[in-house]
Parts: sequence; structure tokens; C-alpha cells
Amino acid sequence: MTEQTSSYCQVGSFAVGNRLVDPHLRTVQSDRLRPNALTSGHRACQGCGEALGARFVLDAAMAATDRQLIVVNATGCLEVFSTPYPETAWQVAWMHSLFGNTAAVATGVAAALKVRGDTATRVIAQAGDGGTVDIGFGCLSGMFERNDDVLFVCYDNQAYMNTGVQRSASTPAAARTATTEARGREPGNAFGQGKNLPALAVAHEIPYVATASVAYLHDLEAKVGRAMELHGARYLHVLVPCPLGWGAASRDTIRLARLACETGLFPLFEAAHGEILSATPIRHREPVEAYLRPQRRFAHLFADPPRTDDIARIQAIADRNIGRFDLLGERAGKGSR
Amino acid sequence: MLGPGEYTNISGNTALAWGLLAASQLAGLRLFLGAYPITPASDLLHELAKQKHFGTITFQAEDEIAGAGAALGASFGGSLGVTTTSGPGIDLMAETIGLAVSLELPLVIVDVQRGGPSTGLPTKSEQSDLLAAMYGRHGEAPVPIVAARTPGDCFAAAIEVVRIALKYRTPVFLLSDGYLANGSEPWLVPDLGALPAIDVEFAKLPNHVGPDGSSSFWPYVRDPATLARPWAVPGTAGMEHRLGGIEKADGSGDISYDPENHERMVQLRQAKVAGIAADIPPVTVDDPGGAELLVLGWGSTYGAATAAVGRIRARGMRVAQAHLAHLNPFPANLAEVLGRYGRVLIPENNLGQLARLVRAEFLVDAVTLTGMKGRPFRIGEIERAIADLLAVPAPQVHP
Repeated sequence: MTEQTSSYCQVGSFAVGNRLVDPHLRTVQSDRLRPNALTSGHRACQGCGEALGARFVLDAAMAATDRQLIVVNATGCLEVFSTPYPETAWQVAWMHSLFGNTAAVATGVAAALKVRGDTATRVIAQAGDGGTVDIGFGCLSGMFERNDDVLFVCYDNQAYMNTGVQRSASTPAAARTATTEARGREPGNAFGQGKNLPALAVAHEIPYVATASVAYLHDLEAKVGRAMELHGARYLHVLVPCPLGWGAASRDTIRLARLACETGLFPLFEAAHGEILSATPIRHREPVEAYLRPQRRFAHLFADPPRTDDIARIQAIADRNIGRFDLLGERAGKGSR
Repeated sequence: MLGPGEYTNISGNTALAWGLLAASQLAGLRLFLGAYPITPASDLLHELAKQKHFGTITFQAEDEIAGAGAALGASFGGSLGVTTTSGPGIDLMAETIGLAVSLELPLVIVDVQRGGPSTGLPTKSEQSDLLAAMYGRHGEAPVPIVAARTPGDCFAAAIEVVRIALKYRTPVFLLSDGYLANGSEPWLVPDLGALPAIDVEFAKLPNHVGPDGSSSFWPYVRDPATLARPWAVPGTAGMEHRLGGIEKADGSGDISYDPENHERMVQLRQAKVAGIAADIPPVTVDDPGGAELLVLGWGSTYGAATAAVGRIRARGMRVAQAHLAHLNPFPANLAEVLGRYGRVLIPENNLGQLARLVRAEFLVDAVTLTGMKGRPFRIGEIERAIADLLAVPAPQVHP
């Protein structure tokens, strides 16, 4: 396989700016010799949040493990766009499993390494939201329960994008998908359903659970680094906007990923052994409308007449998150973080 | 040639979805689709999700196990339970399909085949799930199988599987494939009023008299003609009954480990499916006369096989053609048809799955033309195979 080294133009100002700081503070991505686990030339859509997230996660994990890493990948967008026959974009030991059994396959890989006495090589399992929250949840819960030495990463783009944008249990309320059409009295995806997988992972009391967003790439790298310092079952849930499925402009991927956090709809937190350790406070709080309006999957909320009731219900979800995780620092006291 | 009438351009998946919808209207039952997204079957879920105004319920499950289970539950509840998927989903549904065989409830399983095994070729076409549909369950679990031959034919095939499922209270496979699903053709819009109604009769009266003279409902008392058991909707007064996957006593439906009973139930379930042969049209043969060779096909090879046969005839050679819609049970006249020809050529996009069934069933040494390239046959491939066979004399058959 021809190794492809990276160039700065691939990673943008985020990484290049790192050259100005002390070497030990620089991100993995800012290093010209970064592992580049997912090379350029794959076939993700323009503005794909998942491609960005996967590269940062795996590069950070490879850096943390001296590149001794095995990746098991569920069926999904990430698998499809990275391995169009006869090509591959992976520069890491990589195995495609099925849609639902990724966590179990990773368990097997980790068990084999343990039997061989190989403590240096580590295992990551990765999947989209469908392969995590829906069809993959049984195997994932088993992996958590056994505390297998695997970091499971969910790249959550909130629907089955690869098969034509069908809803998943991670699709937000009111969002239009191919199977939750914006029709009838309750247009879009139903309220009050869906699985909060980070919370379910916390409930398994595994050594590490974190949520991250591609808008905060330093934070994402740091969370992968902390996860790789630990052993046992670990879970990282990364919000990755999908321009195609969300009906958003490709250039808005980072902006939407940030707005999801700043509205409170996607709280960033870390937990260990069943306890929430910290949450990232919101610096500039935004109303949910700022997040919803640029996405065509929510366009019916802003039609004539607008669905102000639904927008209010979504705002209530955000407000509840803000309260639950103290995202405005009100309980902790402002400025204490 | 196309006759006069109102046509629309239709893809196989759209036709199949409309066929399911039409069948539910003909049967007067609500259509319940339990499904999980999978290429190339997802369009069925999309299309039926748009048809809420017909009372259609679409349920997107968390996996195929739940999709099939919900559809079977809907059938228990008195709706038309349908699940749509592709090969990998069939693997996950296998246990539920076996349960449906045991419960003897209607269940339509649509398999839009793609290249396998495993994730295989999700966007490419193949006909390699025939044996999975036929045998892909533990135990003796016979399931009727119908295959569509053109995109437009998916409509009729969908109605046919619903008819069989409802009449015989059995899971039924409908095999389509990626080529049919995404292919399209001009389709004569049918006169919906002219389509025959599908009679569904729910059990409402007791069917058993006990030794003390009291009457009760037994869920496994069979219709002597179809061997179907009565379909009672839960909640119907007096029709209380229990179902499950454990073997049941013939008649009462109580759990039974009696050796003689198990053998009888296995034979009854097999006989019920085999008996459908008397209720399906005979296979028609297109034979201009004097043909020695029969080209036998199923599913989406229809177009290429028909065109190849036409070319062979234009070259002055004789060849007959037949195309199967029903693959389990086979049409009642198939043995007789096969006996008329010295040789049989079966082109199929697999390693000879229909040929294997035909050999096993009829002891006919069928010749297989395989094509596993993820695309349909080219006409020339079948034409060449026919010409090659016709160029050498038929082997002598010793009786």
C-alpha cells in the first residue's frame, strides 16, 4: 500500500495555527507526520462531518497507541465512502464487519490480543448512529457489560444517510427524513422517542463515556487521548452534521455542529464509572431556531404558518439539557470553570 | 407490442409497493409494513410511508428482527403483515419466518435480492437467495415462493403473494432483485375494479365441541380444502386462544411433545404448502413446435432470456421457453412440461439454484448457465449458450 503523507491544506487553519504554539500543546492534526488514518481521495460528500470526525479520532488514537491500532467498522456511510471498490482510504488495520455486530467483532479482536499477550495493540470499533443505537445496540450493550477493552466511537449524523436518509433512533424530533415525512398533524419525526445513547452508556457504568462535536476538534482529540489512556469498555459519541441528510450547505457543517452545542441540544460531557465528571459550558447561548433554520429537514417548522409549538418543544429539550448538565454554569457559579 | 391504454413509467419497487397496497385494498385489510432500511429495498418503505391516506401503517424498526416480528404481530392482530428487505435482512429474519410457519399466520416477506454473501454487492443485482428462501430456516419449515419477472410484474406478484399468504395462513416469499427494483418499464395501469377480491374470513364462531358438549374455539382445526387454520383476531369474544413457537397439538393448538403429533404437524404444514400447486396457474410454454430444448427461467432473467430465444428462432433454430413465477410449490404441470424436452437450459444469476431444485424434484439433468457479475445477463450470453447446446446432439437418455 502506498503511504500518503498529509499536507497542511487538508486540515485547514485549525491545524496550521497550531504551529504557533508550543510543540507539546499542538494537536495531532497539526503534525505533518500525523498518522493520516483516513487519507484524502475518499468519496464522502463535500462538507461531510463524519469524514472529518473519523480522521481526527483515528489519528489521535494512533498517536496515542504508537500506531498499534486495529479498527473494526460497521456498515454505513463511513464504510461505503472510504472503501469504494477497488480502493481504500484507510491507512490503519481496518476491518469491515456487519451492520449490527461491530461491537462483538471488536470484542473478539480484543480477546485475541489478550490471549496473545499483546498489550500494545488497541482496538477501536466505529459505527454510525444506525449501527450504534438501532441494530448494533444489543452487541454494544454486551460489550459494555463485559467491559471489553474497546473504544466504541459513534459518528452520529442522526439518520441512515447511506441508504437514503431514513430515520434512526437518533433522529431528532420533528426532523424530516424519507420515512418521517413532513406531513400530517405531527410532521417529521415524532417527539418523545429516540435513544440517548451517551446516557445509556453512562448507565452501564463503563470506565469512560464522552460526547464530542466536530466543531470542537481540540476537545475531540483530547477526549480520544483520555479514552486511550484507559482500559475496558469506553464510548465516544461524536455529532457529525450531514449536509445531504440535514439539507444544509456544505460550508455550514462546523457551524451547525457548534450551534447544536450552543443551543443545548447536544451537550458535551465526560463521564466515568456512571458519574458525570464535567460538561463543557455554553459560551454564547443561541436559541434553537438558529440551529434549526439553516437545515431543510426542519424547513416545515418555518413554513407558513410556522410550527411555533414544535419549535417551543425543541427549545424545551434544549433547556432541559442546559439544566441537567448545568451548561450555563449557574449551579457551579459563573466563572468557576 | 404494447396495446392501447393508459400507461405510466414504473420501477419495480414502486410497482411492488403499489401491488401490496392494492392487495390490502382487495382484501379489505390494513397494510402494516415492518421494515428496516436496506439497499435496494428501502424505496418500498419510502413509497408506502407516503400512503398514509390508505390507512397504511409503516413502521421503521431498529433492525430486521424487529421489522419482521412487528409484521408478524400485525398479522396476529388481524392486519396484513408485510416486511421488506434484502438478503442480509433475510438472514436476520430467519427465526421469525420459522415462527410464522409454526404460528400459521399470513406474512409477506419481500426479498429484493442483491449480490451476496454478507454485505456483498449492495447496489448490484443477483438471484442468489432462492435457496435461502426455500431452505434458510432450521427445522422443516416450508414457505411458498413467488418471483417477479419484470418491473411492472412486481405489481401482480405482490398481489399473488398476499393472496397466498391470506388464504393459506402462511409466510410467503416474494423475490425481486436490484435489477427489477431499479429498472423501469411502461406499465399499463390496471383497472383496479377488475382485480379479483381477496376473501378473508376471520373466525368468529366456535369450531369444536368437547366431550361434555360445550363448544369452544380450537385454533388448529384446519380447512379440509386448503389445510389452513382459522384466523381469529384477538379480542373477538369467544375466540380466545394462545399461540407460540413450541409444537402444537393438531386441532386444539395446545403444546404437544407427542411424537406422533409432531410428525403429523410437520406433514400437515408441508402438505398445506404443497397443496398450493393446485391453486396456481400452470406454467405456460412458448414452443413454436418441434423444439428439443427448453429455456427455463425465473425472475429478472425474463427479458434477456426472451430476447435470446427470439434471436435463436430468427436464426432458424427451434427452442422453447418457459418462465416460472411460482418456485415453491412448482406449477402442477411442470413435471410434464420438462418431460417433453430432451434438454433444459436454466440461465440464472447464481450458481444454479433453480437447476438444483429442478434436478432434485424432477430428476431432470438441467444445464445451468450461471452469471455472477452483479449485473443481469446480456442477451448474447444466453443466445450463445442456447446455440452451443443446439450445436451438439442431445445425450442419449437411458430409461
